[in-house]
Amino acid sequence: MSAVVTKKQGRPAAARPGRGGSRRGGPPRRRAAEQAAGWSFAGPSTLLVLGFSLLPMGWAFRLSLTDSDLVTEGQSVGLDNYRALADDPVFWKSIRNTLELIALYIPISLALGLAVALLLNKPIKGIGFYRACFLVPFVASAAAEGLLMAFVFDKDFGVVNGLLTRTGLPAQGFLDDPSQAMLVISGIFIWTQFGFNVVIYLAALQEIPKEVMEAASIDGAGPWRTFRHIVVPSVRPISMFLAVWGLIDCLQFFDLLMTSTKGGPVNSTITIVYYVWQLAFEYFTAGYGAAVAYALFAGSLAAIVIGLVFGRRKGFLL
Amino acid sequence: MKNLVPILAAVLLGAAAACSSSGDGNSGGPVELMLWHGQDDTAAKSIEKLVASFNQTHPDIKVKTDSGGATADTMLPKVTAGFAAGTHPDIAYMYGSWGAALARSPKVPNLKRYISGPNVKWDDFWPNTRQSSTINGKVIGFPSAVDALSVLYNKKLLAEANIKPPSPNWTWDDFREMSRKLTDAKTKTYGTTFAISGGEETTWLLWPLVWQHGGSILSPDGKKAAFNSPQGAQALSVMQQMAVQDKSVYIDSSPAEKGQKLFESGRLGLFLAGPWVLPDVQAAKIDYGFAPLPGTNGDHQTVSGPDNWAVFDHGSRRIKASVEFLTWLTQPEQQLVWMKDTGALPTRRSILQQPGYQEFLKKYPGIGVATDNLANAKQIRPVTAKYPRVSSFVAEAIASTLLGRSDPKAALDDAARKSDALLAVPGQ
Repeated sequence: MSAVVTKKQGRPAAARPGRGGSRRGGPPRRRAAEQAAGWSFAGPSTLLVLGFSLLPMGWAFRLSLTDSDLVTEGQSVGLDNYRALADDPVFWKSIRNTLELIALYIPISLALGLAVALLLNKPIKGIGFYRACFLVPFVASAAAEGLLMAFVFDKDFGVVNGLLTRTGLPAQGFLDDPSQAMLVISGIFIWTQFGFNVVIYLAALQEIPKEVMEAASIDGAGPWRTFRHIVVPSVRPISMFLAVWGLIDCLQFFDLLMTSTKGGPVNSTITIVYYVWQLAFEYFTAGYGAAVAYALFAGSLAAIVIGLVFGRRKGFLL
Repeated sequence: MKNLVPILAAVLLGAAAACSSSGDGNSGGPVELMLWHGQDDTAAKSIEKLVASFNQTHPDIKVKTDSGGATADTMLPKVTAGFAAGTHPDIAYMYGSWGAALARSPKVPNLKRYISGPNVKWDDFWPNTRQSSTINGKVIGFPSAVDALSVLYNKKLLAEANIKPPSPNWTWDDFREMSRKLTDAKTKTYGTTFAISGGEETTWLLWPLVWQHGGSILSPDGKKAAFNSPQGAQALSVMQQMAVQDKSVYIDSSPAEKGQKLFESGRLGLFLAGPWVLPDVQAAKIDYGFAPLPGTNGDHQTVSGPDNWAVFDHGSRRIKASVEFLTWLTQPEQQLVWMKDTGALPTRRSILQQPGYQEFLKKYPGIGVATDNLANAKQIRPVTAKYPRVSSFVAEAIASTLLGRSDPKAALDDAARKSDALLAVPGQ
């Protein structure tokens, strides 16, 4: 929003380069009125951006240079918090878990989202109902879903193990088994989120001009070739958008964990954001928590910039 | 980062609200106090009922209540966010484990000069609750609740397995043997449950065992971990043998307290818990009995969790009014109302002499055992702001041991290494 304002202030001078100094920017009174009007439009949003994003970010950075526990101010410790990151096994574990989540989540949720969107794009009776079914997990509260899934995947009383043993397969540890827990959590997260991808893909599929599809079928393209050469290229920008969106979702992954595993057992499902929360609000080490948060910020900024540059170069993004 | 933003947003909004509505009570009229009680359901109704009757009998003070959050678990972050904006309450329900962090805050006044008042009867509170309210000489509030870990047993399950109810001098061998007999894989019935979800609910099951074996949590100066002593390893072995060899333990990895649900559904024989689960257990119509913790060589020490009504600074007039309210609230008459509604244990010795106490015993059968068990709470957990982190290291050690992934001594050594590094950092 603030960008709009600067543009507006700059315009009169740039737009009328040849005019005399006295005319520059029009009569002073009108110019002031214009400025005031401009700020009255941009002001509220500027305040929101400043108050809710930039100030807290600055404050958190200052916090990351102290040993504050939020109860008291704390003392300045310079860059010690950042140095301590290197030797913190839980920090590295949380990064590994987050990367694992991203690696599973993005490809599967995109593929699943597109597949279901293709199915739901057909003229079937009661299509509205089916579409709603896939959207419900996305709309429901993640905290409630975490609680629900903790029961569904319970190793002793859960429905899933009940089905497994009934069909003669061995029961699994799921969320109680440190080597399976992150996989199960990723699966649950995909289930809760891919409804969003379905909706976006559905909109993109309906944007594909009918004529193109008809032309393809006249040219003798079967379903696979239509999909490969028309559908996939058409939704490519949307796929890129959903991948970046999914990346952000993964980096912020928190609420489901809070009510299902709390990062356990033995830190096997801890993610970066969950670790930040623990450091700040369970262990009273808000300064160190802020440093971890800033490490996450730097990492995600880098990932998104690389994603955008790559996406632009390949023509995925406009 | 991302999750700090909403908190800061709340802080900023709170600041705006505070500017418009604070009114510090230094002007005329009744003093207005804000109480964040952190209770839900029955307990919330009970405390609100008590506050209403206080407001009626004390026209010069008006106490307003708010839960301050869905549960008491999130009270500390809420209050600290309030500190930044000046919107903190006058009184809040605070877990004892937060005492050390609170005492460091300049927003928490020292109530030492108020507690000697004749109406307060400070020495009537149990010693461990007084210890928990007083950190390095600073009194941060009034004792609000006290609990000691004890054992609830399902009478029906024990009778079906031909097991006699635990005697007051039972041992951990008895506990293990009973648990083994009660476990039935076919009906999914378990002897007992241990939580491994990684917080204090995991760690505090281990401390009584460590103390009973003669071990301690930290070195006397609080600078080194001491829980990885041979005594500590022995203590954890007791839990490990039950979980790994006997498989008589339901290992509860979720924060949803599934272990308690098991007890409520009649599938758990012995439950390490306390009176705080009674309202739920009674609602589930389980015929339960109480026993003290099993002992080691006749030592039945347990761990207690005294909580506080912490007081926060909004000027001396409001602090004084807060003390007056808490003095009233913690009197035996009011405490008995609260105890009868919620199954809470007495915080003061003199409550036991009140006629109403007998009614309380009648309403919660067996709770007398739990009250007597308060005497077994002899040691407290370390009073340092670093304790929650140490506790998380130990919880990790317990979890990996009970899952059969490491042996007790190695796991505790690992946790001790991490704790030593943490405790060596000066400050906090």
